[in-house]
Amino acid sequence: MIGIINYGCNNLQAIQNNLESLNMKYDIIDENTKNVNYDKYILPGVSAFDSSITNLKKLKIFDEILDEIINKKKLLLGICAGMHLLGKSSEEGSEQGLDLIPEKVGKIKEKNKLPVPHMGWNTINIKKDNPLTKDISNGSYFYFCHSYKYSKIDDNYNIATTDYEDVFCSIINKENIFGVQFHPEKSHDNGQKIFLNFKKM
Amino acid sequence: MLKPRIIPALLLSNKGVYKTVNFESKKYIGDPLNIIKIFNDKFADEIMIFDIDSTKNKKIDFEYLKNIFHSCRMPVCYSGGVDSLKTAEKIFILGVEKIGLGNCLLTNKSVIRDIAKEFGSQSTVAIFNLVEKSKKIYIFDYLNNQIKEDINVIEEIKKVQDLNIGEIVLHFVNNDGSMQGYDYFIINELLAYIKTPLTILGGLQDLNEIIKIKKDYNYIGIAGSSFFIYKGKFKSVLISYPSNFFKE
Repeated sequence: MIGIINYGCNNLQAIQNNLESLNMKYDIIDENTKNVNYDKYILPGVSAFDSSITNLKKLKIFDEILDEIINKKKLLLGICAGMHLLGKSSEEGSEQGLDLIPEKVGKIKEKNKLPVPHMGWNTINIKKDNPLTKDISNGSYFYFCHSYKYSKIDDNYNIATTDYEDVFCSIINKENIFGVQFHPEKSHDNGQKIFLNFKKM
Repeated sequence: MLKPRIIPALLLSNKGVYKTVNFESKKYIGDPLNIIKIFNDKFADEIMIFDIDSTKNKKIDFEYLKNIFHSCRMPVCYSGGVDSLKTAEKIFILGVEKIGLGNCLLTNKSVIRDIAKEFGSQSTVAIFNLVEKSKKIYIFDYLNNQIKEDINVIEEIKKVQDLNIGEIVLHFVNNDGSMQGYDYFIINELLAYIKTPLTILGGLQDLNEIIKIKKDYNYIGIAGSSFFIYKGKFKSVLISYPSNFFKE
């Protein structure tokens, strides 16, 4: 059973649609949730960093969720802005992140005058074998929509990268913590493979 | 490599999909759920949904839209009747990635700033309905059926970018439904001022035009409606989409 963390501002329904079509069972965790005990968690996101982290911490169940992740080592998948929340901090805001991955989120630099946000279908270069990328071929397309990214990142956590203005991390993994910069819930068949792989872990 | 997005745009009204010519003479095309399903099966890059009833009546039927968004397996840009942060939040939660803001460009720009601040600029899209008149570009206010001769388009583009908009859509009113090609005069006049991702809509002719745009402009989002809806010179309704067009 997967718990989807709903902290107010995200495209929750799209993720639900995907999980339903893949016969994956889930609950929504929100301000009414009294206790949490799930195998896995999904942290969605289409929002700005500060409003996201503030709303997330406002959940009454927030400390219990952290306990599930940090102490009980339950799996967590952060999506797009949800992936950014996993880090130490972000150039997008002044609040602190969850610090589950000891890396910082920075703004995409407009080096070659490509437009920011990075919006559309782009490829991933898989750097390391990982259960999340099983059956996904190198160079597969995913849907991206973001202005911030993890750039300098420890090779150990860097599962896949994407090239836009500079090379940034598009799939991150440290122990039980996973994050994807793209939107698997909007990436058709490749996105569904991500959810299925997460289910199988 | 990033590939240009090819984007069907659907006009929603009275629980059906309609197609207009020059923003007028609405023609019924079909049931939105059936049409969206075809675009799902074709792995469409993205979809734009314009809810014209919501814009006109300033009232959104969230329950109805929920079904529509529920059926979309691709990224969705929704536009229609969003005039506050609260309304935007209710739309995002239904499974929408981006909200297109057209009318509040003219009336209440603070909504743009509020939504961009709360949801991030990648979630906010400014839609400029434009007309060209003797080599000058004007904003068209379709609610009042009025060309805004007093508004400077370039200044407006700068303003919305200062409010952290994440994407700009140039919508060519006079080319709508023509299938005679986009308005390249407008594109070329405004291109230099646009720093965000750009999408163009109104007049898309054929696959050759898509190839040409990729060659000349690289990453521009290529949106259209007649092109994805009609087939042949008698314009019979047949939904189609060029799947995997730019993917190697």
